[in-house]
Formats: sequence, C-alpha cells, structure tokens
Amino acid sequence: MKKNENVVEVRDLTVVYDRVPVVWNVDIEITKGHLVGIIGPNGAGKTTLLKALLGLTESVSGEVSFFGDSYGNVRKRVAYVPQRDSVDWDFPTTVYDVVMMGRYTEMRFWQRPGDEDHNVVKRALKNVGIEDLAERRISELSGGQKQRVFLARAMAQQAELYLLDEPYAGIDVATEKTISDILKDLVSKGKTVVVVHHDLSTVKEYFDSVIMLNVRKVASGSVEEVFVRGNLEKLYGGSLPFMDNLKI
Amino acid sequence: MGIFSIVNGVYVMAGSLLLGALGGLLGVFAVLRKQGLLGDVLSHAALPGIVLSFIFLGEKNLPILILGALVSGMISALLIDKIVASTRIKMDGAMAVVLSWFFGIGILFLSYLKRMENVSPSGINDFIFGQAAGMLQLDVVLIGTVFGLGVLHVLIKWRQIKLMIFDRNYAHVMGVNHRFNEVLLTVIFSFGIVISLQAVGVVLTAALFITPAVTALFLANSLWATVLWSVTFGMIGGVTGAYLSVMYRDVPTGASIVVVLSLIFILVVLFSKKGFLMKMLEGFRYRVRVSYENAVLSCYRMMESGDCPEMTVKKDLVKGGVLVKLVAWRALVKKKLVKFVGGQWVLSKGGLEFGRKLIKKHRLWEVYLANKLSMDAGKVHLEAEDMEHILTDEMVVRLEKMLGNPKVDPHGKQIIS
Repeated sequence: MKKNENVVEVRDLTVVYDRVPVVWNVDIEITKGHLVGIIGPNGAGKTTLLKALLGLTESVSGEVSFFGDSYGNVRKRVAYVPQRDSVDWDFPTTVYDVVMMGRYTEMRFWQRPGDEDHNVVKRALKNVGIEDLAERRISELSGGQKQRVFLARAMAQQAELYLLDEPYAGIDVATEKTISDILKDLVSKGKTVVVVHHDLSTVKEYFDSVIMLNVRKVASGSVEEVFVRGNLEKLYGGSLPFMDNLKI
Repeated sequence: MGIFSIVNGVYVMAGSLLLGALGGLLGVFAVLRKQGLLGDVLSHAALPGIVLSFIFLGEKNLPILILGALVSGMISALLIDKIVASTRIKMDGAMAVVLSWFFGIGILFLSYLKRMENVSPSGINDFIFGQAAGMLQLDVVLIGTVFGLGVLHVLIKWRQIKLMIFDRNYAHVMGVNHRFNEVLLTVIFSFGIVISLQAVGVVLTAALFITPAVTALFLANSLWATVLWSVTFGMIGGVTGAYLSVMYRDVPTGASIVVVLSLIFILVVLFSKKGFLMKMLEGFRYRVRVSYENAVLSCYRMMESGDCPEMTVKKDLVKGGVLVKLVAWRALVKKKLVKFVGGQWVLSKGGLEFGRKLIKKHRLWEVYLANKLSMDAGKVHLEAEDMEHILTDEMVVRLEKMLGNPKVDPHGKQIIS
C-alpha cells in the first residue's frame, strides 16, 4: 500500500432526517496513517456522518469507499467503536466475552474461539489495561472501563482503519490518557484512526488532522493549517468566548 | 392415584415440560430485547381470534384456532406500531390500550358464543385461564416443533443473536443480518405464545415466558447461564403447575404455573448470592466489624494516653444498634480480643496487637492525606475516619513503602511497625 493512499473517500454525501439535511454534500478524503478528529458543534452531524459511512444510517446521495472498495468487501479491515451509551450494559455477559465479539467475523457458527482468538483478546485487554477485569460482568464497570472494553473489542478485530464515536466523552483522566496513547500507537504502526470529538481544548494534543463539520464541511486538513480562529468562527457561527482559551 | 393414570397423563406431562422449556428459552431473548410486554399483548389480543374460530367452525379445531389467534395477535401488534408511528402516544400507552381493547372484544364474542345454538363451546373456557389437562398428542407435537425451531435458531445463530441484542450497530457493521434474526425471533416468540394459550390461558401466558427469564437474569452472569437457568425454571414451573392443576381439578393451569414460577422468583431474589438477604447480611456484618474494631480502638487510645492503663473494656465501648452491639461483643470474646481477668474484661494480648494494627492504618492514612494530598494536619483525623476499617493489609504494606515508613502521624503520635 502506498503511503498516501486514501483509506476513506467520500463524495457528495447527504443524509436527511425528516426532510432536514443533517449532513449536506460532504466530501472527505482520509489518507493512511493519520489521526483525524471530526469536530463541530452539537447537532452538526458528526455521529451521523460516521454512521452513514458504515451504512448504519441511510444516505440520500453520495459515494463512500474504503481502501478503494465498497464497505461490504472490506468490513474486517474497518473497526467501529460506537458511543458508549448506545448499548445495554445490563446485558448478561463478561468483559472478556465482549472483547471476543471483535473476533466473531473470524468464526463460523460451529467453531469455538481458537488459541489465536484467545491470544488476540488477551493482548487487547492488556493493551487497554483491563486484563484483571476480564471475568467481570459488564454491568459492574465504570464509564472509563466500559470505554476501554469497547476499544479493546475494536483492537481485537485487528483492523487497519478505526472509527470511534466520542470515545473521550465522560471518562476519567487516566482512561483519556490511555486511549490517546493507544490511538497514537496505532497510527505509528501505520493504521488510520478517525475520531468524533467534541472537546476543542484537546484537539491539538490528540490529532494531526481535523475535519470541521457543521452539516456542511467547513474545512479539513492538518491541525496546524486548519484549526485556526477563522475556521472555528465559521464552524461555530461567530466568535466564542472559549476560543481565547485555545491559544489560537 | 398418579397423574399417569389419566388417559392423556403422558401428554400433559410431556407437553407442560416442553412448554416450560419453550417459555424459558424464548423469554430470555424477549426480555433482553425489551419485548416482555409484547408477549402480554399477543396473548390477550389472541382471544377474539380464538373465539371467532369457534363461532365459524362450530367446534374446536386446533390448527384453525391457532391461526385465528396468530392473526388477531398480529393485527394488534400492527395497530400498536401504527399508533406509535403516527401519533405522539408512546409504546407503553399504545400497548395498554390495544391489549385491553382486544381482550374486551374477545370477552364480548365469548358471551355471544355461549348463547349460540348448534355450537359446543366446550373447551373454550380453558383459553381464559388455561387447562393443561386437555393436552393431546397434537399439542405436544406442536409445542415440541416450535421448541425445536427455537433451539435450532438460537444454536445456529448464537453469536449473531448475542451481538445483535447487545449492540445492534456493531452487529450491523460486522455484517450480521440482524433484521432477519430479529424477525425470526419475534415470529418464533409469537408462535410460542399462541400455542401456550390453551394450557396456560390468555391472561397468564406471558408470565410463563417472562418470569423464568427475569429470574435467571437476576442470577446469571452470562447469556448461556441465563438461558440454562431460565429453561430450568420454566420446566419446573410448567410441570409442577400442570401437575397441581390436573390433580386438583378446579385449579386453572395458568394460575398454578404462575404461582410456582413466582415462588421461584421470590426465593431467588431473597436467598441467592446477589439476593436481598445476602445484601442485608453483608451490611450487618460490616456494621458489626466496625463496632468491635472501634471498641478495641477506643480502648487502645485510652491506654496510650494513660487514661486507662489497665486496659479495661467496658461493654459501653461497643456502639451500635441492640443486635449489632450484642453480636459485636460476642465477636470480641470469640476472637479472644478481650479476656476476663480479676472480675473485669480487659484487652488481651491479641486485642492489643489488633488495636495497634488498626491505629497504624488510621495514622498511615493521615500521613498520606497530609503529605501526598497536602491536606491540613488539623483536618486529616476526620477524613481518615473509617479508613482503618477499609484498608487491607496489602494496602498498608504499599502505603508504608510509598510514604517511606513514617514513624509518627501528622499529630506527632507514634506509628508502630
């Protein structure tokens, strides 16, 4: 694979809820080996954009390709981390079991997880620092621990592209650091990571590129070039007091 | 006289066993998919269909009757969907309205049927509260078939179903055909409800599906265990309930099954490891421990400050409720922390050692608060309160190491290693 190959290509994507466009004519190119933040105000369509890429939300127009192919053909190479609150954590299962879900595409229905699967799961648990919680029932986890479980499940899939929906929302500082370290590590190994993110104060620290979205795409590119006052004013509609704290 | 002396005794037992297993199995998935109430709606709304099939055929014909029940149940489900989609009425409201509406119509049809001539309504009453005694070979075959289909679907699609219920979006992304699996689960569930109606009755059928599952979910930590427990409870409830209702002629099966299932539920909720009694007991044990540890602590402190050099332990050092005080005092004696010498209770050698350990935990925590968290030395005593009951020996070792083996606490009091 060439270094500059486009991992994700989106042309003219539009998603409509109840006749109101939530994502409007968006073009995106994400190249391999980048750590990309999708930022924008509440209701800007960030989560919708991610879901539309994966076919979880129907789009009225647009073309999406992953690795130059349609999503259906490259599922295994794409790992998705949904929002933490999108699932029922009272479901009767353990941490280990949830992470093993990342291996399900590797198994036929009569097969049991093999040594390789167990090793991958154990490594993923260790990477996110929750190996001692493996047998814990998921209903007994804290918010940060739940987020680690989700990240471990995605890592167990051993994908090349990671799409994460608000992984930094409502978690403890230690988990935030762990997740950011892991994502940077993935990128340093040539993987591509795309994160829906809402906290502007950490953008410079966490990402090398940003996509600024407010229904339409406002700007995209490297953090140094694009994450500037002018664009942020466009993104949030006028100057905002908190921008003074961002030192830009 | 046993149940097998009845002509169809074998069928009644086999049928109710299978029925319980069926309810237990399908109930787990219905409850996890938040469809528990759908079972109640389907069973109640089936009544008009059942009665109409009697009215038109003039007699009981099981396949037609099941078809009638299914159709009227399905109409009710579609109606609910329509109401929720096109009005601001929420799911629970729509369900409650449609459920009682259809059930009411069913009861009206029923009174009409009973006044009709040339129609034998025998057996129709069974459908209200259930009568397992009427089960025949055909019933057993039908129940067995639906159960078999359910088991097959669950086994083959185990991972997909699990993934789909836990995390629908992720299942979709992983390429699971969740719509197919969802529809199939709902269809099998609906069939299961409808074929249970004769034995358990429209009023209580849903309980055969929901109660075992809810009980199992309280108990189990994995989906497998939940299913196994639920099926087991369902079978116990089904067989015991059917047996009771057949042996005591006038007891409707639905009622006796539900009573047995509810009894299991109550037992589990009260007495299982995660049950209420265990929780209460844990709380009580903790209060007892805090109480006798505090008694030793205050005695140790008095000895240390010279107020009570002979280390007398008066019973009023033990604080708490009447029962807590009683048990805590007994624990002091039983653990040989106190001994009876010269007509009074005093701290034993073990008790002295125990007190030293507790005070060390407390003071180490004070040092930690003052040195590591930079808290005011005057405040740390209150903040460290109760920590001596919580810190484990391993934590003490680590704390000591981290704090560099301090010899005195922030108030200048001794920490003895």
